[in-house]
Amino acid sequence: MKTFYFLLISVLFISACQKDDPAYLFELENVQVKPSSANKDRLKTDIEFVSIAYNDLFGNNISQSELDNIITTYQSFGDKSLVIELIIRKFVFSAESNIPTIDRSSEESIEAFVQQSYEKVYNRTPNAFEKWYLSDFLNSNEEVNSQVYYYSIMTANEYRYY
Amino acid sequence: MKRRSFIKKVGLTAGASLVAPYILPSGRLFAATGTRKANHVVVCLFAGGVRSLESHNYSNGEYGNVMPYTFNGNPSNIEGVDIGTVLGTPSGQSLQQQGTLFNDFKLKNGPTGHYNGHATVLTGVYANGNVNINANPRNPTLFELYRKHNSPSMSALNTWWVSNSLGPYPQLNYSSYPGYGSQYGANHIQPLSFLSSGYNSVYTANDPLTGSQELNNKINAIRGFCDDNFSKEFASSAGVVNTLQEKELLNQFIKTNFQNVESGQIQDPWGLGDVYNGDMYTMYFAEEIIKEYQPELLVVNMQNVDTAHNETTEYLNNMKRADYSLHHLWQTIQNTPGMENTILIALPDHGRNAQGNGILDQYGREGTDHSDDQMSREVFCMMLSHQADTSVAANSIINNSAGESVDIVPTVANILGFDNDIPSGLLEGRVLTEAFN
Repeated sequence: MKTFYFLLISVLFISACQKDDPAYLFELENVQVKPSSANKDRLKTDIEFVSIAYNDLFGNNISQSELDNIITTYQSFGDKSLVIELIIRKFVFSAESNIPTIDRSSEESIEAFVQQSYEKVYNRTPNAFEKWYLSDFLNSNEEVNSQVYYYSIMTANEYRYY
Repeated sequence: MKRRSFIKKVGLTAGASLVAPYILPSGRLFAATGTRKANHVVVCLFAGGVRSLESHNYSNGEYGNVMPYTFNGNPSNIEGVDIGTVLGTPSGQSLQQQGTLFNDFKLKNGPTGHYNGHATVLTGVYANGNVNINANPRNPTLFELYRKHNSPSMSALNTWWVSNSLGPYPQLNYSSYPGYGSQYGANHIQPLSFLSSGYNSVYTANDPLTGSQELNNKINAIRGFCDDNFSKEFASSAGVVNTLQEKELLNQFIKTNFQNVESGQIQDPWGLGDVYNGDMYTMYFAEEIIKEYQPELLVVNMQNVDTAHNETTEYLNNMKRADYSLHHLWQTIQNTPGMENTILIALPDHGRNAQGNGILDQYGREGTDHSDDQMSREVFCMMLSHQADTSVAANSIINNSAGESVDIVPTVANILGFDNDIPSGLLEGRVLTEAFN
């Protein structure tokens, strides 16, 4: 691994004659939960997306070094959507992520889980149809645990907007 | 098994494209009009600035043949250039003996800078000062031309750009030219950064989603429901687009390589010991892609010889590493099932100045820059075919016909049979017909 990291550093030095990207660090503020998705029309930048996802799942801000690592990974692979999915996958399946488990003891408890997930991830309340469909889906697909469910909704289009 | 069946399907579709016309979504009738000379092209940008006196014109230089795997002639022994003892000498024919060498090849116009040299080769157009390293090229790249005009069914997995550094190079996988763009781009990877940074930031050893089609179907169902209930579409703001199937294949390939990093297999993939530089690792990964996907078009670059600015001895060592890497790439192509019908093209991005820059290394060897003198425009171009007796001429030197960097795109298009489908006016070069039997 030493050689490998030495070479990586060398590559970064080679790249250093190019214009450097500025360092980014996004801090998240508390926001009000809204009733619908209609007003979401601003696309998150990829860096904003990663920073917000980290905060949503870990409850604190991503460190600069971790963000730098992610940005380098992002820049070094052509299919950006795949990299983003892998980043979210890594976050979601981390042992440190704050994803509640699904209480499948009743329909109400599953609905409560869906409600909470929408408020946490989409910053809004689900409408009646969304709550019914997703609760029913989770009720009939027990192999879909909370991490898989969170991965699904965090890689959907709505999470790219705010 | 899914990967195999998928590749097979892609292959069948590609095969059908040779004989059948298509109705494109736009309504245009498309037919692959050209006859192919080969089904795969690998372009190696032997880049970083290679001076003719240390490459194809070494007989007039002071260091002898530092590229014995590529050019005919006994290898030179140079004090301090001891990497050659590890890399050995060719036991068989040099690449020159197996193919066609263009001795009079030039980056004729535009700045003799690395990015410009790359962009010229990959777009077939001289930049002439019209270079913006912070944006995708203005003219369509070879990858886009291939995917748009060769056959509409071509998968992005058939098209790869493997770069040895970041900076502006990743954006060479597609252009901003109207009608082209990311939907026709190549899959790009800069392996060193991706595998090292990605190992920490995206690799999950126990990822439950990889390889689980049933679970991925459930994910797609939830995601699809969410997308149906949100009014805006999102397409990634940048980057090549792979289908869901292709993404899963890519993900499995990536995971395998992360596991190789984890197990240490990537440390000495060629059994040479502790001699690897970035060029060699980049080439190794390009070979892994060739073995995995047998792409129809792959471009890989090396750049570590640019140490010539201030460390000429290291430049010579890196020349030997790059020489060996090119040879190794050719060996891999020849030994990979599915790559039997391949043409390899190798050329530097540009040359280096005839005069030194006054910077001496520990052996008293003077560094060289690349600042637009005549020699900094002189490069070689080597072409080899897997079946050398039927496509590219073997043991042939083209001395009396000049070639240029802008000729690579039309030549590749001709090899893959889509040169006549490229709209007129997009390219400046010509097909290097002298190379073909």
